[in-house]
Amino acid sequence: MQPIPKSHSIETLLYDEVRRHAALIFWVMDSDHRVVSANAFSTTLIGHSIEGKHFRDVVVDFENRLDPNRMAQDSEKAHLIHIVTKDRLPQSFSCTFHAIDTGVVMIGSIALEEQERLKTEILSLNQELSNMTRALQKANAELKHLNELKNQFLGMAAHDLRKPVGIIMAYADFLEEELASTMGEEQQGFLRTIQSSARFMKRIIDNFLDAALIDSGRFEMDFSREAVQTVLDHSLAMVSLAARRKSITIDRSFPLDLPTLMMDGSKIEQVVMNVLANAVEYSPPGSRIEVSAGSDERVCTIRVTDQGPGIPREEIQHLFQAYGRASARKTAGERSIGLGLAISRKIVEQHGGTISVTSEIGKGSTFEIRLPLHWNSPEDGDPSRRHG
Amino acid sequence: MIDETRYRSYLEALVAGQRNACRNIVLQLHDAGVPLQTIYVDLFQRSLYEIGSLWEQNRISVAVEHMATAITEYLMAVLYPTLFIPKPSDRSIIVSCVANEYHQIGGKMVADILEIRGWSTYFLGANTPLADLLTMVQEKRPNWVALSLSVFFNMPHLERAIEALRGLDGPFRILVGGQAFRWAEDAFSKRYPEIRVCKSLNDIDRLEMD
Repeated sequence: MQPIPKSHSIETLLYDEVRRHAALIFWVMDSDHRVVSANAFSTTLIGHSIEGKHFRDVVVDFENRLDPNRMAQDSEKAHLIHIVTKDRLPQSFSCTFHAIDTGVVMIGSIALEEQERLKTEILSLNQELSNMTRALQKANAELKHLNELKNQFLGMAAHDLRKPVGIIMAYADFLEEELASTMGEEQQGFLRTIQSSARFMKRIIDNFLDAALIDSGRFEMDFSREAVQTVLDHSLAMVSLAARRKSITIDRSFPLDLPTLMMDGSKIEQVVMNVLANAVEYSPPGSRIEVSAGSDERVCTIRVTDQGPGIPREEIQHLFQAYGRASARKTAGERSIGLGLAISRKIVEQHGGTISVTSEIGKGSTFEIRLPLHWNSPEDGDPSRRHG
Repeated sequence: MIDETRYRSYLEALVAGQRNACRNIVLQLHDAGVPLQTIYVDLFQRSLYEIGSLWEQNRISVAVEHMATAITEYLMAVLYPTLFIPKPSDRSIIVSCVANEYHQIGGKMVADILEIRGWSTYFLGANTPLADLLTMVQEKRPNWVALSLSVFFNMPHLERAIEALRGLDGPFRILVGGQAFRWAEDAFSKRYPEIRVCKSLNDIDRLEMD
């Protein structure tokens, strides 16, 4: 060790070391607690000079309870002070406060105990987080498995029910064709009930099968180039009888040059029919439904507007989810299981399009189906051409 | 099998706290079809033992050991999605650290390896209060209860847990394991002959035969 030159006292050397090099906090503050001078380590830690700044602007003191004068009354007691560093993160120091003639001096060193406590806390949080991730992954795997079982069950049940329902429908139609003239009014009423119930059951079965296929990722499209006009004509023909029964008028507004699209025509027909059937079912007798279609260079749009009760805003977000039925009652007691719009959305999305709704309570709803003219379908990368 | 060069690269990255480098090595091994148990035993367990030994020799700080443990837990979480494949199982196990035991990673590896083999596992984590453990055992009625002990000085907590478990009804058996048994297996087995001791992850293979 070098001998200490006589011109330097130990105090001077220590002070010089603290001021220039040591990893300690050393601030001299005036009576208003503004920093008059701070050592080099403080400046490096904070990222800039703090001279002239108020004590409270440099330390974390949410409750405004740190008072250097009060803390200096017991200069032996160390206080935990969090200083905001240049990374905007507080670092903890164990500091003592000392009264001097012109104010207060704060001296601090890194709070090892606090650092150790925080480290233990972080490790414990990390453990808990990884345990929760484990539990979550396990629960997720079990849910996926249950969902697969549900889809298998739905698929099998629906598949096995389809055939007997088809037989009921076929024989009911046969009875109507061959024997209706010999039946009394009451018997004809029974037959119509059998027919409508069987049709409803077939719709449920078809929807269950579609939902199971969508969930399992096996919902396949059969793409070919088809005319939008044909799809609309078929869909309108399918709902016209139900509309007539409720004295509902369907207004059509189509241009002559609706395009052909690369699509699965039967699936898009299912979407349009579903939207139209909903419009008929929720509309009051004697009202009007407007069906319009058009296209520009990019997209073909089909709109169906009804004069039904409208859909509450909070229900719209769930409307296209499976089993997300609206609260409004159908006007002739028709039934549904809330799968149609979820399946419709999936079909439209598989065509690169969107389906949406705008609605006003008491006035009605407008469903809009947008199908892009140019997109790369899984089967055909070529853009479709406009018809005519 | 994991070759020595790959293992050394992993260990170097682990000691240096290079989480992403470790992750890349683990994912490469997994993509190459290395079984999860091999990754757990020949990479995770081996590296943590080696790091523990380096710490005992004062060649690395406790902070490095903690960081390596945290990275290993993270890597296990990265592999979790491939771990849980529900299948019918009549074998179940509760794996837990005793009260005051904060080293949970070995127990978690045991739970994961058994999970891969189709066991129903319930992992309770570090420092599990005895009352919580007993409640879980009564609720889940497992075939086995595994208690992990890394720090030998926590042996009294383990003994208290064993005595309390013996007081419960049920056909479950008790398994203990962890680094503490490096020094205490013989004495422990003499005192508790009916309790199975697993000193390494590979020892749990024998559980399958029971």
